[in-house]
Amino acid sequence: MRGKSLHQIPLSVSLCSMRFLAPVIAVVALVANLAAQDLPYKEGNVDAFLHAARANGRPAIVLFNFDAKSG
Amino acid sequence: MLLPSQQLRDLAKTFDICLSGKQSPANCDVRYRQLYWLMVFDAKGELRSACKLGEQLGVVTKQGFDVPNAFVEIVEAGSRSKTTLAGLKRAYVESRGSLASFEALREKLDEVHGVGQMGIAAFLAETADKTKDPVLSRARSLLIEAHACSHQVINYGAFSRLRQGLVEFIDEHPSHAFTPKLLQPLLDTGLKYSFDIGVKCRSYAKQWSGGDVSEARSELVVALNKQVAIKLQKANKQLAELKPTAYARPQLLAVVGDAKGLLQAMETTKSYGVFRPIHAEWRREAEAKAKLSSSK
Repeated sequence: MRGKSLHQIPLSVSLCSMRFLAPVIAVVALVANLAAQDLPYKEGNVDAFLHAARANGRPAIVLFNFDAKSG
Repeated sequence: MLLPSQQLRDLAKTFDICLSGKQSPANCDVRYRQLYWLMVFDAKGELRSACKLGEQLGVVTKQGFDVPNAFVEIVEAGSRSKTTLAGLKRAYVESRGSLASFEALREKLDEVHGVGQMGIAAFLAETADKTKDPVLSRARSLLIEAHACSHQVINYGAFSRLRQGLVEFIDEHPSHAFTPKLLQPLLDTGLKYSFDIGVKCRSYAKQWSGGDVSEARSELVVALNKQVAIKLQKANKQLAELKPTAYARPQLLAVVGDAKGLLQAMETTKSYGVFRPIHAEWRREAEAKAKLSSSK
């Protein structure tokens, strides 16, 4: 299909690719979601975070100026 | 690397952890915002400790810990701190503003490296009426605010508010025992980024004298004149020793009110970020002064 633009790819091939890609995308999303749930920290909205920690009676740590890339 | 460590996962069993990005928690104003900060809150949500994380990690890793374990050490030490800012605020109100409770608040502010300092300044002003000496509590509020501003709050609005607050307070309470102690913060911090502080202080002296010639007002004016003379003498001496391209030169030229020198220096000075409104005021006032002196 080299040299063909997208509208030149037969519709059956596009649908076939999507049939394979869709589950892959779903798995990647699931893994990403599980990984996010597994993180030992939360990001952003610090006041809501502290409010929740207080409601749960848990001590809390805030890392200011930190995001996931900083660590 | 700190974040993916097993130590952090273990710590998360005891502490909820938040990476707050650039958002500081309510009542936890932060100076030196370019640094990484760690804040430890207890189960009631009260700030127990705070530190500049990089600096503290440096200290603890020198004791032989790796970074993740040093982090755990810092958190655990912080959580063992005996007091919280909120607890000390309650104690201040309960003791109706005793000196001991105020000193305890100041010590805590030092311990948490000034986190929440502007919040404490606001608290002291708001709760002044619940204390034995409301005027003293307001003066303490200004003192804490000035201390916060002197630590890297290069903020035109913050300096302007502080200056106005100090000048008004001194005018309203000339005979209060604490009032003379506010002259130094006015000169050192309130007027730190002002143009021609000699002229500004003469205007304050005029305002404070008003029609009233009480002994307290006269003493304040004498003290102000003396302190501003010392300040200007120091600034002129520093200027004489500086290279023409020195970073501190425009600020000193502004302080002494050297309009021509400042305008020349600022021809090659690029104004950026927080300095834009300050430089704009310097230019405006220096141009006005230069125009006035050339028309004489």
